[in-house]
Amino acid sequence: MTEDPRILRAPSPSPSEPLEYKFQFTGSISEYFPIWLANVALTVLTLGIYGAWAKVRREQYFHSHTFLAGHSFEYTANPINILKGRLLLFGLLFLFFFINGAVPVLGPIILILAVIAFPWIATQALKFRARYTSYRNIPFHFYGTYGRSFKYLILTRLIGTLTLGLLFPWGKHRERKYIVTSLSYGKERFGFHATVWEYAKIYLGVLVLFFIPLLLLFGVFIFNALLPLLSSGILNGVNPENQESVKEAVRIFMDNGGLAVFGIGVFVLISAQIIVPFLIKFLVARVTWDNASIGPFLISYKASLFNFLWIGATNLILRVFSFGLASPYCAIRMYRFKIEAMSFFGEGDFSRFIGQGADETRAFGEELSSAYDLDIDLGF
Amino acid sequence: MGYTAYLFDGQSSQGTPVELKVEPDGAISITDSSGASERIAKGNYRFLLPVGATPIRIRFKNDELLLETRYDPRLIEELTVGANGAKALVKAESSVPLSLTIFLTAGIFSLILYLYGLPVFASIARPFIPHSVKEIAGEQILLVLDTLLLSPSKLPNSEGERAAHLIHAFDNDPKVSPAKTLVRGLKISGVDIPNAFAVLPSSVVLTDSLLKKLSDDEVQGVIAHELGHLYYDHGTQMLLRSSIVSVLSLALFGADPSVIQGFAVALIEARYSQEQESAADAFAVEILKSIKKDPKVLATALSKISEGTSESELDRYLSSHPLTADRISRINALADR
Repeated sequence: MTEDPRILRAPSPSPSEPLEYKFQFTGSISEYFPIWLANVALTVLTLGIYGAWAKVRREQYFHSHTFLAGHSFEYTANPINILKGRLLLFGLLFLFFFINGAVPVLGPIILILAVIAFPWIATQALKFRARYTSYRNIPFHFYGTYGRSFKYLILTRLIGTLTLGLLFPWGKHRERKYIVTSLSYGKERFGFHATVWEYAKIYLGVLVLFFIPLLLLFGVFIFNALLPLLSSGILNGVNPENQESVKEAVRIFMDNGGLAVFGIGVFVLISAQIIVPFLIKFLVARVTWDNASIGPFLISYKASLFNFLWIGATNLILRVFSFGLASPYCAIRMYRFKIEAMSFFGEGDFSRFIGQGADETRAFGEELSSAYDLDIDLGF
Repeated sequence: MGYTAYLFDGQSSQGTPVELKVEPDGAISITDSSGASERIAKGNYRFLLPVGATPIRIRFKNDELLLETRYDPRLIEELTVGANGAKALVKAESSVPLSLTIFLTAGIFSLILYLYGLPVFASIARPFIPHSVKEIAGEQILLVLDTLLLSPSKLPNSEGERAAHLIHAFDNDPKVSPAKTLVRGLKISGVDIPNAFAVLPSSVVLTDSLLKKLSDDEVQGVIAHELGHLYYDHGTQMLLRSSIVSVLSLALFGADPSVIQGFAVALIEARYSQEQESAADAFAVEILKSIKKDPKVLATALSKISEGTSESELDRYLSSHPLTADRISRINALADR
């Protein structure tokens, strides 16, 4: 029988053999569902103002139900600071939407400004999230700076894009190394041991096992559909001004598997926009945290890809068909899966970490990030 | 009664086991294994009600020290004597029927906001938008349309003069502000499209195909409809509303799938847009009557414009315009009054 993690345990002396400390999540949907309902309802009734308190209570729920070595985590952010950040954020967003609608030519300029501001926002969001997460009354810290965030979050992606994706694995490795090694628990910094090759395997795997077969299939169908058009000479007589000739060409195309061409094309587009980034984000997080360490502990992250895809796909279906009412269940389900796949191995104990002074961190960066889901989380 | 707790001083992650007691006056006392005791008066410590059955935490000495103990409803009861507001929230969060009731109330509130709140806000805010902003907006929107969609008119100048003459017929109507017509070409997939639209603050754009297809009276009907959009300042209202809807949907839906969010926003926008089209049709009927023209010319114009296109029942909810058949019926009914 598994020991109840909520039974507080006294710190133990250093064991002689490495021990495994697994994360445990004790939350349940029966407990969280009314909390979620109350949060959503009060947020709507207050036109979003209660949203700051709702966020804090949601984070407190998940943090406080996450146990490691007998103690749980704590979320200590102040809802007032979050509310101030949100008011500023939504004021700017309202201006952006209004200006973008009224003077569309300014839209690209605003986007460029957003790209320049992004490293600052990302740094602040990471600092905020770390600073207000505590374990045993010691908070985490993020030591990133604007310059390094610009270098590792923007430039690396730019280089990856300019090299047509060849350097994406290198860019992702640098980005993750920057984020992990800038994090600390108390005075102890996290270590990072992954190699570029481990990230390259992710992108190569997606390319070889997913995109190339899809594109080959697409090619076969398009050839099959185009061949009758080419051999019949219809294409020579097609005149865009003559709707009948266009309709005839389209009919022949569709009769020879053209529909499959469109279907596969649409699937490739959806995959590129939604499925593949979702998959890569998980695989990157898995590699990142499976190669991290802190103090005497090595971190292990053994989340199953199949389980992740299964939970992700069924969560999406549940959310859509329940019009969002299944969201709390989906959140609990995915969080439990991710957190309980993580464990710490080591000969030390958790009482040896030293804390350091607190600093005030602005909430604004956190709110802008969560509003746009900027994929700058810590990999969880 | 005493509770086992751990004291964390924030200097290290080492926890000290202590016994915690709550005294009748609300103070708490902490006793460690050596028997040393400390008393903290009520008001000198901070206790946050846990969310769900999670560890109880008490902070004191400027939040630097933390007492942590397992969840126990009896301890919560002792610590929250008199804290009725916080208790009410926790009660709502732990009761499915109560939280469902609040949720449904919020749903009804959202519906009221959707039906009345947003239009009222847009109407109140609209007069505060300076005319110069509308002029700039109109110029920029036309610039984008000319760049991406429209082309210079291929019709002779006489057609432009014809359009200008037709709009001037409304000059004496007190509801109509001075407006000008612009003629442009519009082709989609090589096909000429008959269309017209109003551009802030006072322009009506007509396409070549529309002028070729419709008679003078029918063009005047379409112009009257577009003047309705200018009269009600629908462009500014839509700008304000879409900005609010975008921001509110982010605030309320946040991390939920963007598919649902996008769908909800599209539904909201379509509904408001259809209302505006109906209002513009009614305005057109009124001012056509004022210049002694049969308002049914607008219905025949719509019928000619929509030749060769098809609409489904889904368009009733998602299209920016009401179904053409519905519009024609409504216009004819208004004209017969």
